[in-house]
Amino acid sequence: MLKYSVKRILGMIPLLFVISLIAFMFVHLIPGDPARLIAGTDATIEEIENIREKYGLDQPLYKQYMDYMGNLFQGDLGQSIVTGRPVLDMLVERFGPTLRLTLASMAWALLFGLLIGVISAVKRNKWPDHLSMFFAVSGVSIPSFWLGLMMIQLFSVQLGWFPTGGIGGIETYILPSFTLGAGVAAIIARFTRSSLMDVLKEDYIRTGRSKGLTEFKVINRHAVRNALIPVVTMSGLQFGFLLSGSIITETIFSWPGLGRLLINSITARDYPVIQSEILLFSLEFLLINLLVDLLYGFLNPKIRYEEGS
Amino acid sequence: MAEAATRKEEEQEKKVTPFQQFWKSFKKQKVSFAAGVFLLLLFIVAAIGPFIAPYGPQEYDYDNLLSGPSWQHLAGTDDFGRDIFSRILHGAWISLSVGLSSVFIGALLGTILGIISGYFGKWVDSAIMRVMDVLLAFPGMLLAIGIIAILGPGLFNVVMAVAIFSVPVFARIIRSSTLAIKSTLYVEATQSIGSSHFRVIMKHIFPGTVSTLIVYFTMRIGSAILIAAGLSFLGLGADPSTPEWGAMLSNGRDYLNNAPHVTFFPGLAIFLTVLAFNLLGDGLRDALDPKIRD
Amino acid sequence: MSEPILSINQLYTSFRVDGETIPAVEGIDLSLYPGEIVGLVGESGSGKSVTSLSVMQLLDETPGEVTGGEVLFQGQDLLKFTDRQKRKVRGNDISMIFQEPMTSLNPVLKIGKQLVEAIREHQRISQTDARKHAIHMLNQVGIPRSEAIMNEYPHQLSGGMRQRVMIAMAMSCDPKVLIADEPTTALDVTIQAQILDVMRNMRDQHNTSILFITHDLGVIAEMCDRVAVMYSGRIVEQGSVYEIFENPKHPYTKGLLGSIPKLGAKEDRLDSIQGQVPTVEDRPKGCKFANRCPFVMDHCWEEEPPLFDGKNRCWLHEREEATE
Repeated sequence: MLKYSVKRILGMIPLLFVISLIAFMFVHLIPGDPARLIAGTDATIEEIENIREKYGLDQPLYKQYMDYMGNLFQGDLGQSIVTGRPVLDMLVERFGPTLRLTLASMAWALLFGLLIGVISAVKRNKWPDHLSMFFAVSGVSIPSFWLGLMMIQLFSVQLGWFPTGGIGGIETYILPSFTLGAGVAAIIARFTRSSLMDVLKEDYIRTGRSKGLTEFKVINRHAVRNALIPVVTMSGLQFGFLLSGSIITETIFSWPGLGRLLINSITARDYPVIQSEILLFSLEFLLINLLVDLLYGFLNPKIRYEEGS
Repeated sequence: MAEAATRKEEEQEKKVTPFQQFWKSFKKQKVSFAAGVFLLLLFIVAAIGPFIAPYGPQEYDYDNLLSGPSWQHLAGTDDFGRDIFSRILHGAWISLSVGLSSVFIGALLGTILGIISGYFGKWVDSAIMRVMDVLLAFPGMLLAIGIIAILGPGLFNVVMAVAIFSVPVFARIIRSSTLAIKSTLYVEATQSIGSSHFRVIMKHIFPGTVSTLIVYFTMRIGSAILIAAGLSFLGLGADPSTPEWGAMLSNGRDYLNNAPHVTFFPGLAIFLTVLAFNLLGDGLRDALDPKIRD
Repeated sequence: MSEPILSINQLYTSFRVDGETIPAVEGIDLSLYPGEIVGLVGESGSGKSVTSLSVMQLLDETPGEVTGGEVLFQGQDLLKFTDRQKRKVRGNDISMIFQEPMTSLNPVLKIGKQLVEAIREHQRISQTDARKHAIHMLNQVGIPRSEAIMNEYPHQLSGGMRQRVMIAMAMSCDPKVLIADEPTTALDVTIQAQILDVMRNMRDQHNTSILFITHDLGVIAEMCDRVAVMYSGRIVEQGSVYEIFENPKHPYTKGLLGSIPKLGAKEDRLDSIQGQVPTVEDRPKGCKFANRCPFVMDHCWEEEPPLFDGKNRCWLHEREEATE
């Protein structure tokens, strides 16, 4: 397990380098003069020159990259053009709401996804399976912005059960997390079904039955746990989907998170913020992938005991 | 002799073309078949929409602002009094062409890269696949937003963004079917008699990947339409005045309290279209290539 | 002779594939007496595994169903049991081991847990007692460091060790009948011999009857008291090991025996049976072996031979019966 973990962690280093390079290059990839972009459209030539000097944009590229990385390690991500505040502070403040929304959505997605998937696999090709799979296809086909707005219309405007947006007590989490989780629930359901159906064909399931176990025990003890190993891996990767989905959900529900900040900064051309958001989102993905890999190793005894044999 | 000849004839009669075989098993999938019919109608509507729509897409009716569905306006009107049903008919063409063209570009590039990767192997393969892995590590929506952040908003850039994130999906799947075909004997035989790489690829490798390509192409169109509409909804795609479904839905947000139909109908159109593509994709997958499962 | 512990009478089993019914077993009669080892031999596709799964009623996953006949266990028809009664028999009165020891154990559960589960399913004993019994069983099947192995996962054991674990598990509730479906096919020859030893010991200690399914006549000769030869879903010949090996009657049995190399015999090539097992659609109308039989007669194509003398299904022996 240790060897496996170290290997995974070391494998991230080149990717980290690539990501930092992408984030760094971002400002240079946009067509036009980066100094002019940062200074804004109505800046004077003098202001643009000031910016160029201040951001070191007159230096050679490799030097700029070294400076960028140096600042990064000191926690200096620059200032927002729009608000003038340090970007790091803005990101820190927005991180909590997005994380909590994502976790709440994952909870829904796992609850419904696993339940529907298991029912489908056990009742395969009967009506509960057909119904579940229809819901699952709908779940991946439904536009989240439409689902969210329709739920606001029904539950907030008509019924008045939940607020239409904003962050606060637990009631403010219900609609946004459900909206965000629906698609992932559908993906998990389909995946759980096919994984469980594969496991149910395994020889050890027949062994379980030949011991005289009830069908419930066979599924619960022998099938589900094995089927869950790939499902957990896949669900973990769906965190990335949730994180990107949060951009839309946060916009709909006026959620003060990273996604809404990203959209606002893109609309306002707040480049230092966009640059750091790209870096942060990429790092999150990398981290999620790593954690999922480690979790997979932990769940699978073959990898967990690798060193022993 | 005569007997042998008749037997041969019988055998030939029995032989069904791959298309007939596909059609036989596809017809059994009733839901997918229905989805296919729905999409066929949708394409017709997209083509003739401007001619059958009762109103123009920018036809203002200031006496009927935000009015609900009625016989005069089947899906009601928006904040400028424009007929939503007509705008949806006009917008069908936009959504379908954005979905199709972006996936087409993505599939084209992805297929070329996938075949090169799988066919030539070695360092070419690892170089291409490393880049694809990096692209694939990011969820489509975020990658698209990142690309929009660089290229700037607009429908054309949305097509580019969606195309780019489709590339690694196709590259990966086409690479693996190329590898499978390459290992079969007849390709090795053709190679050994000295056919050129291009000839081997076009005559033997590419035709073998077609069924996989069709299945993935169909399945990706649904998500491409969804993401394109999402980007327009966020104000990063189509111009707000165009009858693009996502943009129309976004316009309706401000009137959710008293005129929910402005958001409801465009959203329903997106949902049904994406659903139809996904159902069709599932059916095609089962009929064409039972080996690929989700 | 005492009463049979298990008797299969006129068993018919078929599969349903794409709405079509494909017969796999067509009218089998077979009895198993206490403490006896009966071999069921045949090529793949002859229906021998299906027969065993029919007895265990584990056909759901295939998906197949028994369409006729009865399976009497201690005089009661298992086919008429409720699901609950069937579960009480499975693993308790009749248990089974399978061909693939590598995949027949659950990879994510410790060996101990899988053994204890089998024991506690049928016996009301505490966890600690069940563990003790499990270790005792592991010792019985000749597993060294049995206590340590309780806490190991299947992938840490070799194939032979896993098959021993499977035997320990199958024997843990002291069943009357053990069905072994090609238990040694996937193992090395040396390991094979050890596993056969373990099984014989189990029979001697517990007086368990064993239905031993294999395609390997060498194993049959070593293990069994009686043999039944299956072909195309039917038993074509049965008798004691001595009878079958010394004086095979059915051309198919002769063919099978001809295809084992004899030690010391000077033979240039192995006799083997011509052709392949026919698929269900291509089965001849009369004797199912007609298309591969070296002694085929016109009559064989027309009518299926009955089981003459309760021992073999071949028209060649019709006359013998008549003269006796």
